Amino acid sequence: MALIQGQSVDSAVRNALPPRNLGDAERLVSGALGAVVALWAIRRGGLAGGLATLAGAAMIARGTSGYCPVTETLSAKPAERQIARKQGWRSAAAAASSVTIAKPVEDVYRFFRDVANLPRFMRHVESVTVIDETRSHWVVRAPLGRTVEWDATITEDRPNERIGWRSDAGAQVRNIGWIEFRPAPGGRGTEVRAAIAYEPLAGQLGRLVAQLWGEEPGKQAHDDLRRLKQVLETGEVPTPALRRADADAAMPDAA
Amino acid sequence: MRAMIWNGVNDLRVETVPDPEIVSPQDAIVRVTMSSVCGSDLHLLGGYIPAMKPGDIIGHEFMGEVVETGREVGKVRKGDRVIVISILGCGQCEHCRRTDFSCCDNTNPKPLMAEAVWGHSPAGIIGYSHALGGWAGSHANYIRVPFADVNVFKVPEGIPDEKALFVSDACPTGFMGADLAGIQPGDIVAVWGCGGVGQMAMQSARILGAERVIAIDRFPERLQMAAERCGAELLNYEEVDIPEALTEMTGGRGPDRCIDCVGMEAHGTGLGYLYDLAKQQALLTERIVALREAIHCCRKGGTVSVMGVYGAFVDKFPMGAIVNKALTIRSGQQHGQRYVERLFGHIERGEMDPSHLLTHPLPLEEGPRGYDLFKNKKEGCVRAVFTP
Repeated sequence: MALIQGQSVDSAVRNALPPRNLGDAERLVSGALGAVVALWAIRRGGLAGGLATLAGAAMIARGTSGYCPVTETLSAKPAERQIARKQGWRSAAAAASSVTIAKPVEDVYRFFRDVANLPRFMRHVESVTVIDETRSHWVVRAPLGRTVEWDATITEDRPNERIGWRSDAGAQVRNIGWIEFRPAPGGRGTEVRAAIAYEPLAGQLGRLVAQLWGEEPGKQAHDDLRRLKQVLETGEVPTPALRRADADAAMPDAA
Repeated sequence: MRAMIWNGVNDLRVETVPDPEIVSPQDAIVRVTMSSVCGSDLHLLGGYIPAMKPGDIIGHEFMGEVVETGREVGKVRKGDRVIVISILGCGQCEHCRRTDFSCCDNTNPKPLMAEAVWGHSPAGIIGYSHALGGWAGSHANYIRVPFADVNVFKVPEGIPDEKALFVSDACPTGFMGADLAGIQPGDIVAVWGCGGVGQMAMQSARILGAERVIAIDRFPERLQMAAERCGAELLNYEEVDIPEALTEMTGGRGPDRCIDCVGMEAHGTGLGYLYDLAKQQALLTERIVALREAIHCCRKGGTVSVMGVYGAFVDKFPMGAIVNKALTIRSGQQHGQRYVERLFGHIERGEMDPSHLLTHPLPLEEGPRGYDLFKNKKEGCVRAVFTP
């Protein structure tokens, strides 16, 4: 089969078409409703009419294209659906990120393996208490000033290569994660790759709420790994605060 | 303490704010004795950088006295007379280890906007908006400097303040422009822009072996400085056609090395597009008159070194000239930490002297007036320097 940059022609053609994330029935309803709103709005005129015209036009566009950006934001990605299916969760939010740290693999592995270090760079983790060789208790900040807690177990521990963990039965928020270490080329230290996935508290709606609070998992993972690098390379998470009281103990926001 | 505060577009005021204190054991607190304006500040004043917040202290070219150090600081101590490189290095990451300090991975605590616009974030910069870290600036009685062992340098006894001050920014930026140009003995070097950085690039070109230096600007008093203080031949672009004149002056070859020390500063655009671009992903472009001309004039196989500030995208970039004349383009924010000790040496031996740049010494309380003199180039102002 002919390939275009490694894709089959079929999938290349599919990818070239506008994406669709709405069913036919929903498209029909959206388009028809949009037309009604737009007609009413045009007759009404004024500012309210103008705004309603735009809303109507958006609904028509949603109907004709079969694509809705709001639906896209609320939907799980294919990888997340796969994780949810595999883990037996209602839904999943997942993120992965990577960073290079100018320290030997042994140092990076040893630092991360001592899970009590995690709150030093994971902004949302309030504390991790070691229970025994593989188990620990996590307290994590959630939106609206709440905290959630769970026990977690290290399920895989290959020194200087990979650590995997998952929450124990009965966790308030079920989650899994792994981190991999490998030497960076040219003696530049360690390439770190990490992935986390959790079952959002209130399904995809809970995920949207979290996003509105700036706690989107992809950004979290990116920020956490950057702070891991800062702590290991410089011994601190740099903050522009002018006074100790202003230096957010939970680390500065990256935005 | 007193500090010059950005309160909004073209609204600078000197106000009383809390003193900074040691936050990290790697910090130093410096009592500022001199703090200079810089062309790049004008973008902040004009509101072209929405990443400014009311209450921000501006200023980033300065010197002073160390009054307190964190417990892990070993290189400088209380009482030292120092300059500070404001493009902050951590000293530990891959880039700092190769002395590319302005590429530091760790000193911009707020890298998301820079990552969105440029792919990766450069180092954080003191007094230069929340897109580059939100570090408080130097137009104040005191300033907190992070990673003091990397960014704070003791000034040798024999160098007076008015020379040492500019080793904070204008000298290393100009020197790096000449260094990146790869000047060989016998080279003719053309420099676009006769501000502080351009003039230091001219003196540096001489130090690095240039046979002739040609200065391009339109302000007579700045051109005169370039002639008297930097040994440059002069071209006023309002009076002559620059490509024609350069061809004529170089026997038809063109300058061997061209250094752009203009950027967008004169036009008030530059970094100002940063935030809009990140947010809207709109295609906005910048004017690159000087850079385009430098590329056009440069001899075949020559080097164009870009030290002017550019923020995002440029339009009508003459890529064809670069390819077909086999040009080398070099650029970067200054890696000041790499050059400081060497520059002190050049100043001690009288090979470099930036003191004439200090045209307007003023008390900090007159800060807003100093920026007006500088921005509108009144009274021949090249640098207004504030003493708190």
